[in-house]
Amino acid sequence: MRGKRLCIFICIILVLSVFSGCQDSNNNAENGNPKEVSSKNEKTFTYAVSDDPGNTLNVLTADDRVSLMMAKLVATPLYSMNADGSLNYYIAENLEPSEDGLTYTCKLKSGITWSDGEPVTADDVVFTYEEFIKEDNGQVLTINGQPIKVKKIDDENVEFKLPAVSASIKENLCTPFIVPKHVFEGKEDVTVSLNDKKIVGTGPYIFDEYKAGEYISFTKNPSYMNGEANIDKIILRIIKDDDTAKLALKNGEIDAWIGLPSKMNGLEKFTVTPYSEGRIAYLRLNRVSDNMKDSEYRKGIFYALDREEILKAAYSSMEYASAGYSFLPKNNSYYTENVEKYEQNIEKSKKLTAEGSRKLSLCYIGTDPAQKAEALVIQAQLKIVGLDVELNGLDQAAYMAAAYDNDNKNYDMYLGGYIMTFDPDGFRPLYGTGQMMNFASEKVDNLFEQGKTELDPKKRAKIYDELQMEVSKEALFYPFGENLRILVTNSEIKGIKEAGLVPIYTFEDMSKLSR
Amino acid sequence: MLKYIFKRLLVAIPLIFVITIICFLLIYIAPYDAVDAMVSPKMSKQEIEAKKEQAGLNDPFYVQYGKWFKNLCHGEWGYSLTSGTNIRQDLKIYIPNTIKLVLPSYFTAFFLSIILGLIAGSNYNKQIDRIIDAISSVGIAMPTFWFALMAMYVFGYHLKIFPLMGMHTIGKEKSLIDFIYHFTMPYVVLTIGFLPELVRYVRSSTISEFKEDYVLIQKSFGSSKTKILLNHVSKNVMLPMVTKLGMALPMLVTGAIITETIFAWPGVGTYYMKAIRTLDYPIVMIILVLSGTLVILGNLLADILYCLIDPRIRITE
Repeated sequence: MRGKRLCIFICIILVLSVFSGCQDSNNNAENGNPKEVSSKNEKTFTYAVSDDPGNTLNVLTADDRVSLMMAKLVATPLYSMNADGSLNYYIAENLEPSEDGLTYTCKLKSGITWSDGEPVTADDVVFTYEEFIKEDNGQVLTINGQPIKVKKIDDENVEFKLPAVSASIKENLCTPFIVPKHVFEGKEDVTVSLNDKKIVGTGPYIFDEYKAGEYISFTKNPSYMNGEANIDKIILRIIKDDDTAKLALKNGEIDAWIGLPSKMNGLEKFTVTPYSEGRIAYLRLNRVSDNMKDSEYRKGIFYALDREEILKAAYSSMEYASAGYSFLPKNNSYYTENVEKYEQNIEKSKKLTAEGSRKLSLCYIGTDPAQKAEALVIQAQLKIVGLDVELNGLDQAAYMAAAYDNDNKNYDMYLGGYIMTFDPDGFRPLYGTGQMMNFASEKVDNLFEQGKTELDPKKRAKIYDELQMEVSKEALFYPFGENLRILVTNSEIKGIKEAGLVPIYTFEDMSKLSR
Repeated sequence: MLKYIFKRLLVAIPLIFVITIICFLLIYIAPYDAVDAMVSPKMSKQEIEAKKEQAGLNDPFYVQYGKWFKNLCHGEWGYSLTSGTNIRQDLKIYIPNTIKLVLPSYFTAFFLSIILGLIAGSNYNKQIDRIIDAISSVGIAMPTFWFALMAMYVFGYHLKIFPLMGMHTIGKEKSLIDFIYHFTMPYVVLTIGFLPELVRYVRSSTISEFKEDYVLIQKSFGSSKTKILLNHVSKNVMLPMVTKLGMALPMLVTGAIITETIFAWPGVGTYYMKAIRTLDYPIVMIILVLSGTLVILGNLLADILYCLIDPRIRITE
């Protein structure tokens, strides 16, 4: 009998041991300081995000949409750049280049303070750029392998010394969000734990609370340089399932959601704002594949395709997409349609592909519904000219590993999409020799090099016209065009135009939203 | 008995060790890694290579595994390769949330299934049995995600009885009523998800038991059907159910992935799935260790409960 009791006791201990981890967090939740921020509150804006950014934030290295959105809420750069090249000044008052284009002097606005009340100074700016260059692995702020040098002139002026002339420097310089030196000096990096509940910044909002898997909330920053925000609280609500997010929007539990073209029915009462992020959707032919050696054969493949039909299949209608012909998006000031367009011509396609392989393989991200639809249409269109296409839908990581491997001969074609910089020089990591698109063209490389160092806008435009033509002539890259991002908001939400819709972050300045 | 438990736990340690080596090896030989999952077209090849080097993904298998195992021995669960977050802190929040949902759902389904299964089995081929069996068959065939969406549409969106998603109203984390309000719909969906298979299991066990000689003997002694069912058959049916209960223990970690995703329940399921998709091995490995431990504990628990319930079974040391 005693043995039996002992065994029962052990069983209970075993069961309890399973749940032991649960205790701490339960207590933590109870000891927290919850704030009344009901999503029905009039001064709250709840935006659905599909991913949990995790319990840390580094505003200098953030690279996913949610983390970047958070960074944009709590921090500001010196300035930001619009698609037309104009600047929105935040911490900077102006940016003046020297005559030789090798020095840029930035004057800071006076009287700006961090959310903890400390003044923003040139020391913070220098500290930020030094940290950024350290963490950037020599990418954005490096010219010809040499990093840009940042020097404090006085408390309100900072000087950027370039190792060589760079036409894209204005855009590159505004990449980092400025971080407070007095908080991070002496620390390993500028990563903050969201569980510590404190982020010092200059953004329109101050980080408030992170609940893993649930939400991230922010309250307005009273000392924001562009004036206090209209909405008191911003909540980024983590909802991974699109159907749930759509129902939550219709039910009034959230105020904004990024809609999918296939799920736009029943949203008549909401404000639907499609906008361009400059995202190019494309088909790329694998230069090193045995089937793709002949450029005439490659052109034949392109002539078999109808880009509008592909876009319609992927994005439901042309309301959410627009056909394009260049590797640059249409809103880019250097965009030209004076390129090889490869408009559909079945007879020409049959003739050009007659001598080549009859079987091709197409690789794409299998979990992306748009790419799946594109793949099916391409398969059907190439069938018309007598080419059989094997579809290979891979996981994101497997796709990236295959697409970035320039020696991979397993696939003849890849589907893809990208959002790059406003300056065309930012496309070099795609089209330069040995880079992602697997081009190997000396002429393309040279034109990128010339474009980077040419400061005269007219001459520069001519270079990029030639470059766009050259890229299309290679017959390795076939752009379908741009797909639009669809912001769906509760009709009570106002000020979307004033807040500005931008790539990745969604809003340029959320303080301008109102309800 | 104590010696037996101790022995079983000792055997479990090398077993978990072997499981971790196999899993780590499978992740290692995949033709891509966690950094590939984070790659964006803006990254240059040099940047990607630098990130891989920094994450130690270019190291040979034994170095990577050795580092991970050493950290585990020191109680370090590590950091996510993709988001850089502290895994221990994440799991401290996610696992209890999943348990809060799975445990009540499974126990409800477990007890309901015993009742329904016994009723159906004892009325084999009668109308009540056919109804329960048909409903169970429909339940097994019905995808959880579809049922969840339907429930959400009807009770959350259309009738507005329950909130659509989440575990709490933001700012009302302390309120038990608010929790129950959010909990009801995923709880019912998950219970209905667990129920059909268990009902059919109990039903088939009951049918088998009713064919046993002891039932015939009881009948010949004049015992009523209810008495046979409650006093004899149910006890024998409970035996394999104990095993089921033990084997269900790992579900406390990964038992509600779909329900969690649909109802935006902040549990470990979606966290784990994302880690698998992105080959974020520190997360995958630690959850594997936890669920592996639960499998072993579950088995042990089932064995001990077997001994306690069935006096015919004795552990020989």
